[in-house]
Amino acid sequence: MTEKSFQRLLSKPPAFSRYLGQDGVVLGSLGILELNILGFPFPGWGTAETCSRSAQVVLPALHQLNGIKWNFEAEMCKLNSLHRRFLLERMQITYAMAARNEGCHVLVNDKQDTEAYINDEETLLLLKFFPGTEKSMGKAEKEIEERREELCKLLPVARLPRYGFLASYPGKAGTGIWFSFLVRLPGCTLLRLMRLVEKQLARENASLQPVFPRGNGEYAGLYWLHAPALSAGTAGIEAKRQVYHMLKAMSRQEIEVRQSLISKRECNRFIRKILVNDLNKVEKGGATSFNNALRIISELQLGLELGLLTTTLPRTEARNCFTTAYMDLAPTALEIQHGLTNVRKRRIARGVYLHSMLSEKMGLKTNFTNMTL
Amino acid sequence: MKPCDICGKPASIFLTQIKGGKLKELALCKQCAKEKGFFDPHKLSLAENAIPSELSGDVEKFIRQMLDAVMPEGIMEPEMDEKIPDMLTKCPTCHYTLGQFRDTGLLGCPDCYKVFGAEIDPTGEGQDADDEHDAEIKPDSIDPPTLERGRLELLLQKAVIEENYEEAARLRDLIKKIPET
Repeated sequence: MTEKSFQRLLSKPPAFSRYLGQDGVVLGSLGILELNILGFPFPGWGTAETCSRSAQVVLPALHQLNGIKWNFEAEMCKLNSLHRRFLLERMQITYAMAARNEGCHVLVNDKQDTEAYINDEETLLLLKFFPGTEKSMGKAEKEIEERREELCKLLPVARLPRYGFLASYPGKAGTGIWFSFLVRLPGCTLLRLMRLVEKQLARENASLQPVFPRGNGEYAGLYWLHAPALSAGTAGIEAKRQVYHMLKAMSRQEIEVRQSLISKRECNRFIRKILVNDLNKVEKGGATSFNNALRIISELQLGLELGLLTTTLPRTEARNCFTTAYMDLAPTALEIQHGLTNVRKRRIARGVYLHSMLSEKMGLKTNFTNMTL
Repeated sequence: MKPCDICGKPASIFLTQIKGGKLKELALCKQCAKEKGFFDPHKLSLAENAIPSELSGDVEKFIRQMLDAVMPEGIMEPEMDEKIPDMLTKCPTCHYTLGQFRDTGLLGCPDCYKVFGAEIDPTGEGQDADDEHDAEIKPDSIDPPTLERGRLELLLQKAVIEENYEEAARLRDLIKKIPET
């Protein structure tokens, strides 16, 4: 990997992050295709030698895929700790991948919406982000299936009719496709309802992972919802229906919670108090941690969405400001882009950033006079 | 209940070996098995792990020593090349063991699906799909000896489940004759 290719990666934010400032609950879906290759052990048990050999088989096939231009390509052993942390922060590698070395590659395309991992948990993982609500899932699945067929022509993919596409964990064998959804649940997060939501999802074999996993990253109210892997045949159709209903139910719940923040007296008092506190902090521009910054941005975004705050900017531009803020304030981003290696300096920089972005540029102010209560 | 071949107490662990098409058994009580290093009678791989350090890495030698300790000379002469337990619990491609699969829930390589088919899919439907599998996998991606070996391995697995040890031994010999790919 050259520093030049890393700079190309820096020039654009990852596709999913461009939608973090959007209103709504389901912001997009990440289609994941997992494939293994005949004749090679699953990467978890493979040696550096077997991983390198399988990578030599998979890499040419990835370069032959139609319509994908890989902009960044690196073997994990060529990335230093800072690069790994940076990619991890942008969700462009997994934790398992961050710990790997020889024979493990990461590839990112020019639009930064498609990534490929070689020798992560499976020999090949192809991920593509699709913006939009749960309705876009059908289109996403079709596209991932087409990629799968393309790869099957290029590679000796491990597959048995009884199990479908084989995975290191037999429960995941099937279509080789599964989805994660980018969801925004600031209402449930604010009212401390996340444990309840997680329990409900666990019953459906789904799980939540905060988008910003450092410390109390859940304060941002942004999560990846990992749906169960899609099985083949009729069971797969039923599984898709379940995922769709699960997303619908979760969206309905979050919207009800948000409405209660307006309509219920106690909830309304609670959020008003929080918004006033947040605006004071932003106004003062004091030093702040990444977790606190995430919480403030998320709460102010919710306040604006509920009409409890006003801004001088048009709505679309205001959303873009929130989107940028989420990614710009992350520790490794500040370290790489602004050379801030010191924790204290990064905290100060965040305070200054929040003040200039939210207070000066967006002109956020309370709008409590319109309240019905 | 069968008595322990060492101390005479009721036995709960049984070692089975086929020699010359004849079945021979060794019965041990829990106490004696523990002293000899077998902690889990259901998982051979765990038992392998539990073998005392002086015997580590050589299951056959360990079994031979145990047998020598309890059997009068000449009654039983275990042959080192009869690796039935290994054959049944290890993937021939990646050497991943059934015990590892049970411990982790993960498999070692695509071939493990064929070797541990009965464990992954206890209904046995996976084994029935053998012919279908042969037909669907791209012919140029896998060579005929590998297909034959996979088919025989499944039959071997089935024979062991049915405790048809003579058939299992016959299939094992056939597998040995297929050249390694």
